[in-house]
Amino acid sequence: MIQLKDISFKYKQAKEDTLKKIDLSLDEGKVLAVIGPSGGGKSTLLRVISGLEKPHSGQIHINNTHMTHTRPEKRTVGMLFQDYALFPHMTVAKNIAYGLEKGFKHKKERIKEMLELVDMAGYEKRYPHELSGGQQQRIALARALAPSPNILLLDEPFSNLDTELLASIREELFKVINSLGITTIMVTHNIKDAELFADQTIRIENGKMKAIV
Amino acid sequence: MKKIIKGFSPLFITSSLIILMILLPTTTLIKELFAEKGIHWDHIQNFLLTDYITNTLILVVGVGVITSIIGTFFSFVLSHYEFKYNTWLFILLFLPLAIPPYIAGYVYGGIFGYGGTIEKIMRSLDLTPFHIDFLSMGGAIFIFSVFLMPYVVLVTRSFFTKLPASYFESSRLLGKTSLQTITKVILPLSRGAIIGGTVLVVLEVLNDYGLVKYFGIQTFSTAIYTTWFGLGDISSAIRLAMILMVIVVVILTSEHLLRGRKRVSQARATSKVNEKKKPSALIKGLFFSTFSIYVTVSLIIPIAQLSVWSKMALDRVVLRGLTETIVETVLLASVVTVLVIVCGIVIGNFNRLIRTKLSKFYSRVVIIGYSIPASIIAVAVMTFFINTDRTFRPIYQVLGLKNTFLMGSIAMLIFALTLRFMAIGFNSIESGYNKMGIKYFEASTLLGKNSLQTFIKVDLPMLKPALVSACILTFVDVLKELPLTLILRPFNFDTLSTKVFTYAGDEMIHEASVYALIIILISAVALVALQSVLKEKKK
Repeated sequence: MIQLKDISFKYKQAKEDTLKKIDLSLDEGKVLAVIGPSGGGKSTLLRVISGLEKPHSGQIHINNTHMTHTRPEKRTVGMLFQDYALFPHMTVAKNIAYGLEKGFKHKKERIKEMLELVDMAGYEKRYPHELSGGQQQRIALARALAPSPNILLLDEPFSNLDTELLASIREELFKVINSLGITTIMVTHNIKDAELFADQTIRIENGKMKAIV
Repeated sequence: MKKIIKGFSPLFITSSLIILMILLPTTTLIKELFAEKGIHWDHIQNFLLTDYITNTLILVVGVGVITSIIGTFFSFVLSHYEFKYNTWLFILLFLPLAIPPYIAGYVYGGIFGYGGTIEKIMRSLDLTPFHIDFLSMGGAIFIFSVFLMPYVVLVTRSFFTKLPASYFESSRLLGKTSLQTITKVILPLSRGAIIGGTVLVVLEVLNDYGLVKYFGIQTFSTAIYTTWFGLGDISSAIRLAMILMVIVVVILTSEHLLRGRKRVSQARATSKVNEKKKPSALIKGLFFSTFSIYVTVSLIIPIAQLSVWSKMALDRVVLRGLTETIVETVLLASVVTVLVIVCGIVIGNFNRLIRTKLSKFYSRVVIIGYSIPASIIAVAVMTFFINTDRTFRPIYQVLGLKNTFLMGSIAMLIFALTLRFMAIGFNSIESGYNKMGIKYFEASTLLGKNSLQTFIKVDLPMLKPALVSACILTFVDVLKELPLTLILRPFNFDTLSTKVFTYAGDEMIHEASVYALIIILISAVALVALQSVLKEKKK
C-alpha cells in the first residue's frame, strides 16, 4: 500500500508549488487513476512518489515504510514512462534483465516469465527499434515488473499509441496488472481509462487534489 | 532529477575544479593587465598597432567573404541536387581540412617562388618565367579561403539537408521561381548557419601563426610572439593579447546580432525533408567546373607537390628522428584527447543532470576556450605557470626541484592544448547527452542502479558515437596544432607540425614535406573515419 501525507513540491524556477498538500492512501493491489488538465501536476506526483523529485514537505510511506528521503534506486518502484525509455543499445532480454540484482539466481527464467506475461515470448534478441509501439510498451512493462516492484507507476501509458491499437493494448496491459495484483498509480487524461480500470480516481488541478471521484 | 544529485556531489566538485582550471589563466592575464606597462608599449602603440589591426581585419574580412560565398554555393548545390556520387563529392570538399593552412602556404610559396615549380615548368617549355608575389596579403587570403572553406560547407550542409520540403513547395505555389525561392526564402533562412560557419573560419584565421609568419604579415599572433620572445616584453604581449580578445568578443557579439531575432524552428520529425532534384545542364556545368578547380587547388596540387618533394628528400637525406617525432606527436595528441574527453563527460553530465544557471555557465566557459586564439591562451597559460612556479618555489627547494619546474615541462603544453580543444570534445559529447536526454538515466535509477552503474551501463554505450567523433576531432586538431605547441613545448620536444615549421623556416621545404604529408595522411584517414561514424550515428 501507499500513503502520501501533506505532500508539497515546488520546481526550482516555479513561483508556486506544483503539488499542494496532497493526501492520499491506496490499498495493496488497488489501481488509482490520476486525472486532470495538462500542467496540473499529475506527472509530477508520479515523479515525487518514485523519488525522482523530492517534496519540500510531507511524507511518503510505501508498504508501511517511511520513504520520503529514500533514493529512487532503493525504493523498488516500477515506472512505465510515457515514451517507454527502453535502452536502445540493449536487446529486449537485456532490457528486462537490467533491473535484476547481480546475484539474481534465475535471471533467464525471470526474463522468460516476464516475456510470457506480456505475451512477447521469442522476442528476446530483438532490439527496441525492431518492435512496434505496442510491443515496445509491453517490453517496457515487463522491464518495470521484472524486479517485483512494490508499486507500479504508469505515466500516460496510452498517449503514444495509435487509436486503432489502443483498445486491445489497454485491455492487455490491465490484464497483466490485475493478474499480478500489484498496487498501481496511473496518470491519464482520458476519463474513460479511469472509469474502466481504476478502483479509485483522483483529480489534480493546479497542484491541488480537487476531488475523489 | 537535480534533487537527487545533492549540493556538493563528486560531480559538482569535479566540474567546478575543471572550470576553475580553465578560468585561472584568464584571470591571471587580467591581473597582469593592471601592472605597469612594458618598455616597448609606447612604440608598439604609436607605430605598429594600427598595422596589426588593419592587417588582421583585412585578412578576416577577405577570407570571411570568400569562404561564405563559395562554401554556401557548394553546400547548397550538393544538398539540393542529386549527383551520382554526392557523398564522395562531399568528402572531397571536406578533405582539405586535413591540410593545415601553414602547410598549404609553404607548398604554394614553394611553387610560385624563385626556382619554384612554375619557374621550372616554364623554363622547360622555353618560356620566360613570370613571378607572382605569393607571399603577400593576397596569397594569405587565397590560402586561408581555400583551406578553411570546408568549415562553412560543414555547418551549412547540415542545415540545408534538414530544410523541410514545405518551404520550397509553398514558395513555388505562391508563384516564385526556383531562383527566387533560393534568394528570398532559403538564403535569408540560412543566414544563421552561414554566419556560424564563417565565424569558425574567422576564428581559425585569428588563431593562425605559421602562415602569417611565413608570409611576413604582421598580425596579432606574430606580434604577440615577437613582443614576448623577441623583445622580452611580457607586459606588452599581454596588452596585445587583450586587444585581440576584444576583437574576438566583438566578432562573437556581431555574430549574435547578425543572426538577429529571426529564428528558424527545427524541422520536426514529422515534416518531410526536401527531396533532392535533378540538376539542369547549367547547374551541372557551373558546379563541376568550380568543383574541379577547387579540388585541384586544394587537394591535387598540394599533395602532388608534397609527394614530389618528399621523394626528393627521402632520396637525398636520412630523416633522423622521424619515428621518434611521430611517436611523441601521437602520444601528446592521445593524452590531450583523453583529458578533453574526461572533462567533456564530467561537465556534460553535470549540465544534463543539474540544469541550473551555474551548470549553463560552466558549459559556456568550456565552449569559449575554442574562440580564444592560441596566442592568447599561450600568454595566459605561460603567465599562470610562471606565477605558480613562483608560489611553489619554497616547496621546490625542499624537494630539490628546479625553480621553473612547471614552466619547462610538457604539463604546461598539455594543459594549454586541453584548454584550447576542450570545446571540440565537449560539443560532441553535449550533443550526445542532449539527444539522450534524461529519461534513460531516470529509468535506470528506478530499476535500482546508482549514478556510476548507470553511467557505465547506459550512458557510456549510448554516448559511444559521440565519444568516437569527439576523440577523432580532438586528436586531429592536436596533431595539426602549431602555435601553442611552438610556444609552449619543452626544450628539445618536437611534434610533426613544429618540425614542418622549423624545416620550412630554414628553407628545407623538401624535408618539411615528409612531416607535412604524414600529418595530412593521418588527418585525412581520421576525417574519413569520422564521416562513417557520423553516418552510423544518423542511422
